[in-house]
Amino acid sequence: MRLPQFALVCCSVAALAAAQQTASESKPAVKLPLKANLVLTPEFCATKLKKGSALSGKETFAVGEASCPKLEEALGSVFSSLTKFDKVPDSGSAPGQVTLIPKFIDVGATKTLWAKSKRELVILIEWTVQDATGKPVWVQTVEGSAHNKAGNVFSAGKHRREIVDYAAEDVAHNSAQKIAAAPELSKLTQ
Amino acid sequence: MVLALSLAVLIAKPPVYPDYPVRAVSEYQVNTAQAGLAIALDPLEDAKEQKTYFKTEFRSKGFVPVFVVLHNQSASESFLVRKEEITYAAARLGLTTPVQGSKAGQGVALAGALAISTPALIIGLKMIAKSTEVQQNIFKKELRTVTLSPGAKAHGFLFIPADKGSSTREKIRLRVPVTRIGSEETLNFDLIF
Repeated sequence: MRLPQFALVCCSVAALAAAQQTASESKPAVKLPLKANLVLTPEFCATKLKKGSALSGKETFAVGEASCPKLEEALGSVFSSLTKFDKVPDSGSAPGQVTLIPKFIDVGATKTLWAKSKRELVILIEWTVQDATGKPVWVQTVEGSAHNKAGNVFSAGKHRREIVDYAAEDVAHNSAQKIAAAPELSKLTQ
Repeated sequence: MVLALSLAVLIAKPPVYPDYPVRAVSEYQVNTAQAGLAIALDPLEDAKEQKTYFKTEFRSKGFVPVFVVLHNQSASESFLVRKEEITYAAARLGLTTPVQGSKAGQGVALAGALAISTPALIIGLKMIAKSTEVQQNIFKKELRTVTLSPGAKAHGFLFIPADKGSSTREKIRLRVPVTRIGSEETLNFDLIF
């Protein structure tokens, strides 16, 4: 087999494997038999993070608005039940066995020279998972990223909203995966 | 055929910002362990190496990138390492929190951006695009808060302020507080490099 044909076959196989992996990883196979409280405060859901300088141009990323519904949806597939709270419930007063508290840590964004060039956005969320007594059992920073066209002076805003949306989707997906796989949470089910 | 050739070229292209190689904790010169958790440090002092992994050098900007490797060797315990609780002491000074990667990145980017000359606006824009890529790479390679489950490993860079441009530096003591999940006991790991 010649090199280009070999490369093409390799790419097809890798793409197929990646697609299968994404499909199988998109939702946890079995839900954790735990009742969870998800704390999405109005402040968190309204979080806007600014990046850039006066020299390179400042940008605002409305990460809270984009992330909140996606986090709720993604985490709903991890736990047997998920109740949303707009403030941290007092320990013992909430129905869940675990309380999930997210916090935006930072965003990182590249800039491009050309409107059609793709830029990257990275969102970091730190999760604190507390047990019923309020003790932290799992704390982790989770990353979500996305690429999108930078856009020109007319379309930059639309493309910015899109990239925030894609990165929020990714961070929600990754959060669900990491939380579902945490042995510290599995331990609570025993 | 052309598509296949392009794909082959793309596959062969090395990454722009390669990952820093990770070794076993015991293989690093600076390492320590207690209660089943092992921590190692690898200060990246060589400007050439900094260029390889970050496409910039840090000493003239007043930072030393330090690669931190964590390995939970315990069979049953979990440990929590909060990045914001890690502190450093230069010489005999009190412990201070290292600079956040994005701030270190901003310092690097600003130093580059200041070199812009007004007539070469297009070059300036390229420098900004390039500097945000450099910043992003620093941001992505930074050590993050992590819960280390039994057997788990984690790694990342911390950016410690150091004397700008000086060829030698004082020894730095890094303190990594680690919480045992469940008992809430805090263990302090002190490493000097």
